[in-house]
Amino acid sequence: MPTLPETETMTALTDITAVREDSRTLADQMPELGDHRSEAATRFEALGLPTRKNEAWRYTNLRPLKTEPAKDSAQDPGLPVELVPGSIRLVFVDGHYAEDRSRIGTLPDGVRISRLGNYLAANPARARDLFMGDDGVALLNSALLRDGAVISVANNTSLARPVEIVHVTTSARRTGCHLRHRIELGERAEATVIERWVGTPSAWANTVTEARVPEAATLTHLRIAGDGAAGTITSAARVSVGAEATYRATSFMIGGTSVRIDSLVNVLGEGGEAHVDGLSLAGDGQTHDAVTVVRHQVPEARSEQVYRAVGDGRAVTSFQGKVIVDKDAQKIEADQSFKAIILDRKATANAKPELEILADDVVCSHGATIGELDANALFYLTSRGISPEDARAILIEAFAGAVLTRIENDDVREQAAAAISTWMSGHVDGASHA
Amino acid sequence: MAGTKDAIDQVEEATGSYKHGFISDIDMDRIEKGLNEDIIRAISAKKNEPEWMLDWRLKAFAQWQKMDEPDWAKLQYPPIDYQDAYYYAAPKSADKPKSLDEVDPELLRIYEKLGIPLEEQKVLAGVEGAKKVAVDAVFDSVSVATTFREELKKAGVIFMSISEAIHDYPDLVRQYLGSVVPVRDNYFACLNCAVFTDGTFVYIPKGVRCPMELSTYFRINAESTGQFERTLIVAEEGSYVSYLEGCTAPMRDENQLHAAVVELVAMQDAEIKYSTVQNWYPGDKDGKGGIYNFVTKRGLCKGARSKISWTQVETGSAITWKYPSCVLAGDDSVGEFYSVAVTNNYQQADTGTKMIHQGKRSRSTIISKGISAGKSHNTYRGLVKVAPGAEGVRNYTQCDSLLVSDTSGAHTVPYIEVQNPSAQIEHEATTSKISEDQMFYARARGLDEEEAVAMIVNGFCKDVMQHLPMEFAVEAQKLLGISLEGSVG
Repeated sequence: MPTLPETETMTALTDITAVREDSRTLADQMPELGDHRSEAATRFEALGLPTRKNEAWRYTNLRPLKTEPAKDSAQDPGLPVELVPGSIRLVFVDGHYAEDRSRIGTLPDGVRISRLGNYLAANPARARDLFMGDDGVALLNSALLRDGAVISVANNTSLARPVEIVHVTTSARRTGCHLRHRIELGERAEATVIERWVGTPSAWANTVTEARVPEAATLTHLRIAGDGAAGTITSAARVSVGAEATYRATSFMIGGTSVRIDSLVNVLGEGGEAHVDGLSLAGDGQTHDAVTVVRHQVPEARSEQVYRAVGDGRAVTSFQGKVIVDKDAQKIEADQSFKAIILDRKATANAKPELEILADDVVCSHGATIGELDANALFYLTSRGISPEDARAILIEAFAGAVLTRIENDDVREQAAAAISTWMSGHVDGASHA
Repeated sequence: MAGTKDAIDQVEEATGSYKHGFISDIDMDRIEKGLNEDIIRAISAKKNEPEWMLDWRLKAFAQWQKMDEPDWAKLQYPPIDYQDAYYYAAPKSADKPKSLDEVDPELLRIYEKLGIPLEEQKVLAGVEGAKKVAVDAVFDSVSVATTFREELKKAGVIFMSISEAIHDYPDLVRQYLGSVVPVRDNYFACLNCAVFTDGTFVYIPKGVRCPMELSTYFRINAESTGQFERTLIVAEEGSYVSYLEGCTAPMRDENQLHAAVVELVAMQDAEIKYSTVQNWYPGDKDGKGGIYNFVTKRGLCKGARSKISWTQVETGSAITWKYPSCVLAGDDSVGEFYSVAVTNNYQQADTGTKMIHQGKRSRSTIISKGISAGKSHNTYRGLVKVAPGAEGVRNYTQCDSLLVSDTSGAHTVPYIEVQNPSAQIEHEATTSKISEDQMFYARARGLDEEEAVAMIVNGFCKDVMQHLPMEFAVEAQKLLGISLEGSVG
């Protein structure tokens, strides 16, 4: 497998000629993907990038991708502090694997971490299982993906060190960095994968992560667009959950101009569990969009979704969550809870909590609320001598706490709490919503 | 629980048939099948309409030809051939009857059979001591009778078919027609603008409380005929009106199209209460036949403190596509939506509401109860939108779905879009089936399975049913029972 040439970063965004050209340039890199790329490029040509008329992209802001960026200089944002000390680190800079910045160390028996190119060279048949995509964003990823990480954990193996995949963008031009990760757990295996983004405002980081969580395995999956994140970030996870298996996902959206985190979770085995949570803290000019589809295909399974969003300035926070219960998937328990707080007159919050139920013996519910901080609670706190700023901070912290308390790893939870405090110090000054 | 006994009796006596499914043999005057400018000119000529009305229709038709049929609803049906239908069918009679005595007795008998007596001394649904209800009876494409007109006129209330209103009150009609649902609002509303044949016009003057319930009873009778009616209700400052709407159709193997438009305008302090019991023919148990019901209903709360309340019980139609909505433009205005939608066999319903909050402190309540049985699909689709300038908006939404079979589907698609921080929006939804505990308890009290289901379903719908006028509540409860017949065991 030859290493990728350090050429100019991809420029193709929406222009189909450029997409075709780039996908041909890439053809030599991962020859196993030849058909996959060309078919995806053809389908992309027909569909183009989704617009607000596409129901699933109703609230997502992809307009920055279609405009010229402001003059900006290329810069390397550097790497964020690792979330859990001692993690395995895989760093991708502008879509290229950066070996010098990554750290793998000694892996336990049964655990393999490789680049997608090497993985496909060794297992060419697997190229056919790669998800092609059903919208322009995923199709573009299929047509133009350059690399990615493949994490395999054998049966009965537990990978104690979390794997942190860091996506770095450095370009000052409108560039798309398309990566494809795969997480393949064996039965009763356990792993934690953390995806993070840092970068420049003009870049577009577009990743698709495919994960298999078979019988009795547990995958903890965190996706974090923290305060170092910038530009447009689209991340789609496609996860299958087997019998007695658990998928535990949490997404944090704090940075980025336009961030969209997609989770498609198929519960395929009885006793399977999916917990798909998220927290968005959006400031002026930011768009955060969480889209989940949890599909129950078999009986006796459970899913929970807990999302919280706080919007300040001209922020737009959105949640489109869907629970599908297939015919004959009886005895399903599925809950969905979305709450948004709007701190500023100019902010917008959207919610579309959707249920699609085709079996009768199920208990499914969803609740959604949108509003401002409770005036009575604020009054109560201030009457106790707490300053209005602190009172707001306390209430927002408690509000976000609904997501934090569901995180099992202490390091992650503490860092998340710290990130929330930092965000609040910049947004809970009381000036914008007096 | 009052009415449950009736419902059970009805279930027993109905023996599997749609009781309004008879076909009446009435001499009809039709315009040939098809849809084109000439047909529209012919409809307009039949109705002897002024030039402006024809222009309006033709513009709508030109617009309609440029539009695409919407496909976003969770509905599946074969493509509709808009050319293969009659757009005008009216019972033959020399002229519009001047009084009820001149109405074809055969027509009166049909309405009698439907439980809608048109003789003024009688009251709806045979309920003893009930209030008077004025009825506008629309038969296929035309209004055949309007009762209590004189008595209403004394109160200053205008209650007549919209065709008459176009002649008698052209300024009023022109001012409000299309003001709430614009011509190009959607595909089906636009089609209606081009081909609507009749409907009801109601005008309540300032400060008048309408002395009786008003109602329109829609009947599709002729085969291969679409019904396109328009209802326009204007409530001036401080007035009040309660309006009821009922509909039935014969059992036919074909699918008939019904595309109506209802526009409500409530001025300052006015209140409009609009209740519907929709019982179009739902098709047989194999999904053959039934009405395609594509309806646009929208109310504008124009003035401060105005109120519009929609209550609907949807039991009929093979396809229901219907979203009665409120544009809450006035400060402190109130919108309400109470809905029960029951689907059985192969019925599909995609229904809900939109509450568009523009006025300060406007409030809305949405209570939706969906019941799916057989192989049916029942979808709640709704939007609550808060505009940036709307301070202190309050919304409460509750959508509950009850699944009565393991082959049916219940779906909830709510949209919430808030652009003002002072809004307080709450949405709750649940999907469940009738619990075994509930059934066991009811059975232990000596109810059989069907009675127990009818009782539990009625309890599930109570929050909505209590908003129906009494005469309708009784009928609606019976209908619930009939609609679910054969869905258990």
